[in-house]
Amino acid sequence: MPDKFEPKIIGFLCNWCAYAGGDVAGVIRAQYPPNMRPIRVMCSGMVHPDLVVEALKMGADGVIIMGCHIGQCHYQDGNSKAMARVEVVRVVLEDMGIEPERFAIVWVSSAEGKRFAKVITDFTDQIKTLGPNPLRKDFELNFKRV
Amino acid sequence: MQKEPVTLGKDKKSLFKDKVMELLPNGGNLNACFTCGACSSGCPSVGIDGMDPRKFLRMAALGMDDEILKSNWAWFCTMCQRCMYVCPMQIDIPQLIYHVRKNWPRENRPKGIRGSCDMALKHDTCSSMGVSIDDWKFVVEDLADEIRQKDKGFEELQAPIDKGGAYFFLNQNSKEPVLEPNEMAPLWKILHLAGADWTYASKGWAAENYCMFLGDDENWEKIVRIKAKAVDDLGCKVWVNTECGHELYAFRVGLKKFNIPHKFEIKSIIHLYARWIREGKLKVSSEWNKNLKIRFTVQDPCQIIRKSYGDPLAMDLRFVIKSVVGEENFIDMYPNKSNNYCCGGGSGFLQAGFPDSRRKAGKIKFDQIIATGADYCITPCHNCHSQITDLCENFRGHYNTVYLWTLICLSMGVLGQNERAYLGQDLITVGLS
Amino acid sequence: MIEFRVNKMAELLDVHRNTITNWIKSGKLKAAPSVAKRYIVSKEELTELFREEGIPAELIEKLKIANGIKSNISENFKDIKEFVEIKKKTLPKKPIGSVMVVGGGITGIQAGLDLADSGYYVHIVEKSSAVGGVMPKIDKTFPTDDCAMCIVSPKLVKCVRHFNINLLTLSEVVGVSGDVGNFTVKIKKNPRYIDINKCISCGICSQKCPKKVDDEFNEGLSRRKAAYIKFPQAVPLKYSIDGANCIYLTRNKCRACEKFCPTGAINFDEQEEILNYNVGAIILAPGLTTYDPSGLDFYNYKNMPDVVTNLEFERLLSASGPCFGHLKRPSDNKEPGKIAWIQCVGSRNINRCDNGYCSSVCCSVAIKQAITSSHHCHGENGCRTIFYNEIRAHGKELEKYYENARDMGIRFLKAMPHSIEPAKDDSGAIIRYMTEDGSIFNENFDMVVLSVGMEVSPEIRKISDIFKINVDKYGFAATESINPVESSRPGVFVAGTFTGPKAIPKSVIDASAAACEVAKILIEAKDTKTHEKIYPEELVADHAEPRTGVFICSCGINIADVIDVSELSDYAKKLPGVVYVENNLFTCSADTQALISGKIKEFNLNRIVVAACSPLTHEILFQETLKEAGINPYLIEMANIRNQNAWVHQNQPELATQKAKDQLCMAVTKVSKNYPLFTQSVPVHQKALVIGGGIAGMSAALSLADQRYDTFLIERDNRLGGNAWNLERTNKGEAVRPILEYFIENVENHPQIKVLKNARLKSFAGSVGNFVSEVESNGIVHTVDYGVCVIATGAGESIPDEYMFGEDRRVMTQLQFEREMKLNPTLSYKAKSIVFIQCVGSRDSKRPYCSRVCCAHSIKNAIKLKEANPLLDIFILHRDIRTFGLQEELYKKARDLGIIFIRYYLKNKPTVKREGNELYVNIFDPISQQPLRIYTDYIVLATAIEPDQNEELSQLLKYYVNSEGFINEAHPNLAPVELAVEGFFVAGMCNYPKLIDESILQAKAAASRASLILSKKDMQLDAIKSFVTEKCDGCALCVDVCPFKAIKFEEIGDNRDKHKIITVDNALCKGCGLCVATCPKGGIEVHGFTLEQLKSQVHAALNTTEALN
Repeated sequence: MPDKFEPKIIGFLCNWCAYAGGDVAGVIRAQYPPNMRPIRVMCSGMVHPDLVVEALKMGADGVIIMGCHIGQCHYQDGNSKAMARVEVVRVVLEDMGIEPERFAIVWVSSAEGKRFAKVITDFTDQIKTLGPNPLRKDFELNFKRV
Repeated sequence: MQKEPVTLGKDKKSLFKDKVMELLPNGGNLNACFTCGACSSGCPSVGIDGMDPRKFLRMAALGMDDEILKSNWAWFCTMCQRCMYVCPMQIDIPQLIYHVRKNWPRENRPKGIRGSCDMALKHDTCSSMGVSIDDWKFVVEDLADEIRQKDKGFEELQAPIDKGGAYFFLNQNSKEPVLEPNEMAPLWKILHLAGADWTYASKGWAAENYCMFLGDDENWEKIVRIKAKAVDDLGCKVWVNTECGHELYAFRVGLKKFNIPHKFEIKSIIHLYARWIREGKLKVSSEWNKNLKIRFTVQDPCQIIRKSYGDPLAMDLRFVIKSVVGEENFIDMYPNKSNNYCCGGGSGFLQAGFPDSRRKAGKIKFDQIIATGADYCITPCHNCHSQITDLCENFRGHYNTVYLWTLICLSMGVLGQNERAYLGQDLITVGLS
Repeated sequence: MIEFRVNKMAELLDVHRNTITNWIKSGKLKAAPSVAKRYIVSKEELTELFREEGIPAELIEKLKIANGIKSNISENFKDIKEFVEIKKKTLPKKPIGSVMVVGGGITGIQAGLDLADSGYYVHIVEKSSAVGGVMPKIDKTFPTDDCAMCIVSPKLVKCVRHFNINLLTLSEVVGVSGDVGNFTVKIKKNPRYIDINKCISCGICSQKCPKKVDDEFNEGLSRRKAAYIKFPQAVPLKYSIDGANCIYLTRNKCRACEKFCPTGAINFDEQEEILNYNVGAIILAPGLTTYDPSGLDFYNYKNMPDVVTNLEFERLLSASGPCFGHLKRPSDNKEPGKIAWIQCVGSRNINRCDNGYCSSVCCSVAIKQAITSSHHCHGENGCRTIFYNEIRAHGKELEKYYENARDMGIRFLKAMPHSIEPAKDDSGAIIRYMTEDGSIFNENFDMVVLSVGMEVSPEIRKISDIFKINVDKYGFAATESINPVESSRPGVFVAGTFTGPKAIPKSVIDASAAACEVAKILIEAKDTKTHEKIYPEELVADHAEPRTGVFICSCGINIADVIDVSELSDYAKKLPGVVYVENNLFTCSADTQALISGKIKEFNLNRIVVAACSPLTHEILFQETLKEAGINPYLIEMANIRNQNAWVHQNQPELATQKAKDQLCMAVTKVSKNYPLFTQSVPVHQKALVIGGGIAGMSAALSLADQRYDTFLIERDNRLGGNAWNLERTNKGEAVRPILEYFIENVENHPQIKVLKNARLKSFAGSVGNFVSEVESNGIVHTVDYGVCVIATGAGESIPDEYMFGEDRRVMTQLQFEREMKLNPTLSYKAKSIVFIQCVGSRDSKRPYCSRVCCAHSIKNAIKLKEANPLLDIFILHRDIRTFGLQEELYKKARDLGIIFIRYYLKNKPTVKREGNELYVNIFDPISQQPLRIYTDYIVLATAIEPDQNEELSQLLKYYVNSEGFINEAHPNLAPVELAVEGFFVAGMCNYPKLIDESILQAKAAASRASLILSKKDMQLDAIKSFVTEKCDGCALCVDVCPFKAIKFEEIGDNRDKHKIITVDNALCKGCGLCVATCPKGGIEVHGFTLEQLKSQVHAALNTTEALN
């Protein structure tokens, strides 16, 4: 293990709010830890629970879905639908022996550059506290064997 | 307890409010009220006898003429126009009040005001305290003599009466010749040092007009005519109003209201104080207060500031005070200038004989002064002076109330020993050699 | 049933045509009007009449028998040639097909987009350096509390990229000549001093600029540099130098920006330019300014830091404002506990300003600000207090918004304070106020917000002068109800707050309505000035074998300073499928585009990855490059290593480089899974259906037909006109009848409008561009196909059940009373007293909304009566007089005339009593604290307006209604005339109670939006759509989850192999992927975002073996 744990976090960012908010964070130079890998999706409600599970199974230390604030979805209520799936995902994760805290869903608007940075900072801190994904070790071993 | 309902919509009667509206330009906008209440939340007489300006107007609009015409509140309203100052519809509530006063049978109107009006009609001096021409001349000459003899540097001081062609025509509140003649000395000294070409007149010099407060148009006009004639008879260019509020308004507005032809200009003495200090004619200094650090605040008289010259004169007033007491020793009360609260004694309230109500109206003013922490409240108006002095005594304050002329002379080191009636112990000897 | 024309019937029976008409009028011939001046009568009726008149019965057989006939009337419009010729004469000759829009706020942008999308070239003139106007300054919009920036910014971006929009920033109009159809507009373009083509918006000029000035975007609450962007999301996102403050331009030294600019974009030699544009029409949307309260000494705005205006407060609340969304008060940067709002500052005021009108939006703004700032509220009573005189929550859903605010504990005090006084230590304020019962309170607040209104600035007045259009006494552009976007000068249209104070939805409606009017007069020149880009045919390449080219941008030093781009390039070369890697200084520059094109050909590339800035701003640019090189535009991926990496990890270069590698790997992996996508096109029925023949419906139909689209107008009643028949005058005082007659005549005679009366919609099928319905009218069923539909089904007066309505005939509804006034002209002399009661059935628990039009309606009638007879006593009993906007003048006039207004509360409603024959109303007057008994001759009830509960229609069309039955628009602020179902639009009272002019406006706006669909024969659909895979087993879980009803459940196969699967209607699908995430089997996917593609990105990010294979 490296001296300092630098977690890898997968972020699913909705095209209309969160991704745009991430861009604004850049324009205003709001600094945050470089651990999140952004994946742009059309809507937070597009993210299949399998994707979240798969990412964590493959060794991601955290997964965060970011979408528009409730009531402001570009597609009426996609974010509410995404929200509704959260509990199911958490149950599955627990079954797999992964702390459900490794998965989060948050709302960031396209004006909230500063908040975007804070959300990522907080989530990264949270993951750092949790430590590496327990499945990661197995996975890394497998990887080496291959 | 539910009141008896007021009946509306039955038989059309002519309303008092409508009659008043016919007399006012744009009807005083009296109908335009949308009852927002801004007037009342800034009225010093709000709540006295459960009345406020909005309610008064509302009752008038609903035709509750009996109630409003009998209400003593017409004498509690000081017509200070603070309501109108912010009213989004610029409704002339003070004029409604004025006409209610007018509508009272003359003999029922407050004795204090009526007596002063009647007294002023007895002599051409127009003095509400009944000072005759001879008495007036005697007091002035006697005091002038005394100053010339006693006060160093004022050997040449003049206090002329009926000096034809003098530039300034000065008026004087009757309170001074009658009760405290020494208060005239600082004023004369100022005029002397400024090198002003001024005169008093034997007629029409009295700086008061209680007939206006009484709602007695006829006699208000009569007095203004006498005074205007006195100025023009002497051929003076400028009528100067001393530290008095309502007289400035009564004379200035009276000339217009009664369409009285005249040849002179009108100025407040505050204009002149400020000008003479700027021109270096009055060599004032705040040096005396550098270590004493005695703090002063000022009452902006409604009649002079809000109702006449507004913020520009209020700024002049502050310039004079700051020059005299030192910038750092002046503390403004809030609100101030054109938005200042009336002292609560204006427009005859002081003389109307409702002391408890009047003090209720004045409580805001008292609190304002106390909040400044000032040792002195400067009042360039006799009405304000009396009311604020009374408030101090009644509510047990610890400030003194003083005219501006006293402080100007103090700051120039020319204030005599017996010209300090309104100074406190802290200043009673300052500047005396 | 038998259908006939009057003249044909007259000919047949050998009588004068008037005889037939008289028979119909008298009821002798019981015929009902059908379409196009035809009538329908039953055979029995006709036989009876013929027998009575002694006409041979066999003649009946000669009349067309209509019974049971199904007609397809779609192709059956009149010959329009003649009509077009007539129309042409009234239209400008050979108009120019381009338009000048003055003002780049939401109104100008919306108007510009509507026109550019429907075949006209648009110049937008904006005074400042970026478009957007006031909206970007606003934190949130009411009543949805949407982030204002989020909803406006896509429109701004679209505008700047639009092929047929010429955006002129830092520009102003200095002159205009010519006439409708052919104007010449002279524009002064002020220098930006930064070359817009070279600027990469890195912001280094601003960082290096030593000159700080007040930031007007933050209302002076913060400082910006002289080299600046207006706001971080500015469009165009290009820096500019403020010539008035730049040290070099004012004092001839410095030039720091020039020294450090990595692209050499600074150009101090730039000069002011004068440009002339020829346009066919002009839309003025210059907006308004807010009232400056500095002159109100009693509010102490100038002296007290914690007294701010509502616009300043927006900036304090905004995430992009000086406090980054964490509200702090200016005096000490502490979070304020108690905040007060003071309404009507600079509005409804003729003492301190001449703004006699109501600014219309400030009540809702204050409510919104109180709600959105109350997250910081700590539960203390009155910690959010709104001092008001009347709360004017008159827009849709705003009454509920207001009620909700009350429930949240926001305190509403009907008390206008006289003054704001400073509190101790120069922080916060003291407010003294008097409640209605006369009690006086002194209260401390930490902050005070002045709800300042809107006004016309001298600068805006100048625009009216330049264009020589008439304005009202306040400087608002003067218009008439019949066409509220038409100025006094032909060809010059006006929109937005320029015609009066209004909120965003009404401005957006104005914009589309103005666009509609322009399209009508420039119809001859449609598509003459617009351009369409021609691309080479796409290369047919073997997409299975990726040959990826990677272009890594240094962005000057923006990226390269943090990320090791050469290491990144080396890394890229090792990634699978990558055959070419290049590092550019500026990948977005024009020369790099040419270079990419060349490399594509040279290395036979079939996939491109650009590692640079954000796809949101630049993907379209690179897609263009691909298209020009003959590659499908969906074969590109961007790695956002600037905004979401270099800029936000400035102090961690190593980790940033590591992240950039992952981002690049993710993009390369994903692009290898990409496949060509094609936009689909569907043919459009260029016809419209309008449901409802009231003013709104007729206005929509005319607006569409005048743009040469065949339009069906169906009306349930046997005559057109709807509610307007019951109204006498508009609020502006114009007679309604001539307006109504104008509409009816034009609609009935328009060759491209087919009117069906007594009509009902019987069926509905299809999707946008291709709808088909059956309409039954007078027993005939017509088949109608259409591309768009405008719903304008109206609303009506509700029936009161209180105040002795129905018990005493002197108690009547507003419309009944208006009829009474008409029948009884001496009413005002005979009556002594009339009482109007407002909010009868509105704003209560049953109908928690404001019916909006009743205040002005009652006042209008009251004024008419009082003017006729000043001795008549009139009382208006109300809960808040809501004469919003310029209607406030009516309220003022009514008061001046001596009409008495008395407020009541829901808990203390007036009561109506009768003693003998005497009718009276008891009410408590809160101001005089006095019970009143008002004897009266009439009691007029301003009853609630109720939407038409059209179950049949809503079942059929499946539109959404709110809880009170008003049809919901797709988005209250930015899609105020669209329905959620694409191709459907809404106008008039069925949406919410509206005034006549507002209904006309909304109808025109709906027509404008609808014509965007109708303007082209084929409609291009986005390529990002969902598609069904072979894994679908027909479980149908996805059907309900689709917000756009794009997924249908169908049975396929023959008897032996019958099974159900789903199908996607591409015209309805918006590609959101909610279905994908719902499907347990991978039976449905979205192009461009397939599970495989997304998973490949996950794997790449985690550097798993799968990713590297």
